[in-house]
Amino acid sequence: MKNPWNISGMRLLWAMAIVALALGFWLTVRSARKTPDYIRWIERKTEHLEQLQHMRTALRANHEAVAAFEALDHRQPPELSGLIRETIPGVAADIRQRETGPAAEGWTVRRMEVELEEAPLNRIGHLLYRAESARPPWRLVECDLLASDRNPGYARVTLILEALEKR
Amino acid sequence: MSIPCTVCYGIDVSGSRVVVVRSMRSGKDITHETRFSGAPGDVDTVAQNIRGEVDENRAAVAAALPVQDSTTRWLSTPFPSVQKARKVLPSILDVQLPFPLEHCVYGFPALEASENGTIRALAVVGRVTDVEQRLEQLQGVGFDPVILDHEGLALWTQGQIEMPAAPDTLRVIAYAGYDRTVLVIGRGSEYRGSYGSRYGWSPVLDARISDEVPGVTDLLARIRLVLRTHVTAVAEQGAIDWVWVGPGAEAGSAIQHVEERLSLPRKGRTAQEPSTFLCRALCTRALQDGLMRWNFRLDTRSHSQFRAWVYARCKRVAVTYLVAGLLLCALNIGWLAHLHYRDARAQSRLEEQARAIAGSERLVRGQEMLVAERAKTEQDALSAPFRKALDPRLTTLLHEVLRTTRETGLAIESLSLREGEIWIRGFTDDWDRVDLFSERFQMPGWEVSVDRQDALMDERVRYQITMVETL
Repeated sequence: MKNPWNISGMRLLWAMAIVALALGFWLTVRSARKTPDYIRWIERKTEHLEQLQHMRTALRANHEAVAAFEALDHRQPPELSGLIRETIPGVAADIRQRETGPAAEGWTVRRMEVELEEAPLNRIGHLLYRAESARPPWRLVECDLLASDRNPGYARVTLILEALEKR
Repeated sequence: MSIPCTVCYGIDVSGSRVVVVRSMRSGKDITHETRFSGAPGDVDTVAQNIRGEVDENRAAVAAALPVQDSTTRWLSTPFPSVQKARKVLPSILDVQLPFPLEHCVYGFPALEASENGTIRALAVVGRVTDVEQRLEQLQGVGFDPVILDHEGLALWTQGQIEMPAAPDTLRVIAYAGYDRTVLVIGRGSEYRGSYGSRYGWSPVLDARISDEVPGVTDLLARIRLVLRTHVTAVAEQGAIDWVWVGPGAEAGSAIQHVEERLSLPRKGRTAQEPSTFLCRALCTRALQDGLMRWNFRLDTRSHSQFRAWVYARCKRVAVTYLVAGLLLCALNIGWLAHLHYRDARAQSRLEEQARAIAGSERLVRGQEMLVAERAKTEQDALSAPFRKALDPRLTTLLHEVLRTTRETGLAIESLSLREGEIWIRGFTDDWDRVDLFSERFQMPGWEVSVDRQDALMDERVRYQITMVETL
């Protein structure tokens, strides 16, 4: 039987084995160290993704709200003086413009202050119902009542109403 | 290490006889088959066939160095540590040998803890010249053994396999060979020593033995001396478990004569097929791992087949390590790549979502949430009037307050309604009406507080109700 020993070949094989093992161990240690970091990053990003998805859902609701206004036939709310005349005839009304501000898609928010002297309380609800049913609607923002000393069921009413409009 | 082949030929070469046994391993079982038993001159054909099998690495050959050419000793060390014991064992052995250790082939096939906790070792020694002479003798017959075992150890371990000794019983395995006699002594399963004599049994195998046969008296004297060394009490002689093996064991009259002359109170047993016992022992030890395995063919004297096995084993281990290392690398690279991919995918989805919210094409990595939150805050502010416009909460609330005051009989002097806050001031003629009102508004998300003043001259209870939205 011939001598099978190939010393240089064996040395090369062992050198490769040792290098591969050392590299394997080094990579294992590296993996063990890196894995918690990666898992933490991935978990954080997954959390952020969920938050962003919630945000998108909320923004979709915003878009839907704006879209509902864009679909209206009229872009101007009805005149308040007319509404007051129709719902509480004979009551003196002082209507003043308050602040205006920007809204999405070129719309503007307009606030009006309405002061009614000796208004019957049972008609105030009717007025507000008509204002809110209009398209675009008027929305009640503030309301102050001061009961009349002379006429029970009547009050001095101050309303602040808000509406969206697009010119 | 057991040999990797499944076939082994055990060779027992005495002066005028050669016995060859072919043993085959199959799982844990080993089957033995006598291939040759005869004069050395007739073994050529068998030897040639065996050489062919050895060259094809299908079989190996095992033989033994006779006990009279070697020695075994139990050595005690003062150390409980095996590593330390190994370092001092050669020195301890050296002083006990009548010739220099450098001229010997030696080793320690058994190391164990003694009763006092220190390590004791079984030393096996053979002189280099004896080993080489034995190899030459075997090669002269046509055999080149891969394993040159110690005869005494081989006989002892095979005796334990074929005829296990009872615990604490003195066991003697007597090998009656053509050119030698060997006594292997132990207690229970513990090997104690081997003793050889150059007295051969060939003269008595065909004739009736008597003390007149040359050498018999010397043999009996030698056996008695060995027994005296190991048998401490006369009573113990009766408990000796005597086992006869070797070709001489087949000569019943000779055995009987020796037993009578030794005055053994208990008759010895004879192993089955005693003439091939040693060959079976050599093959079993070669084919199976176990206690006290030994090979005198070490280092430069090792057989090329043995070197090839060592090489193949070394190569196999290296390849295993290489594959393990590469697997580790591949697994870790794969795992890291997988994590990196998942992270990159999460990052890309994050950027995509943030871009969809912010409407911006360029995003700084890590700023996605900040940019998206800012964009959402802006869009919320611009869209808030649209969402609120379709929600008549304040009107409904005003309507509810006015209805409840009417139903509970509360008179309102003034009322102020804001987003999340209602303030009512007025009067009533009954304390309980205010409570009734506040009970109606005890709903989740609102905190109602009532401030009442004592009735004045007009017997009216003045009240002030504050409702604050808490959610």
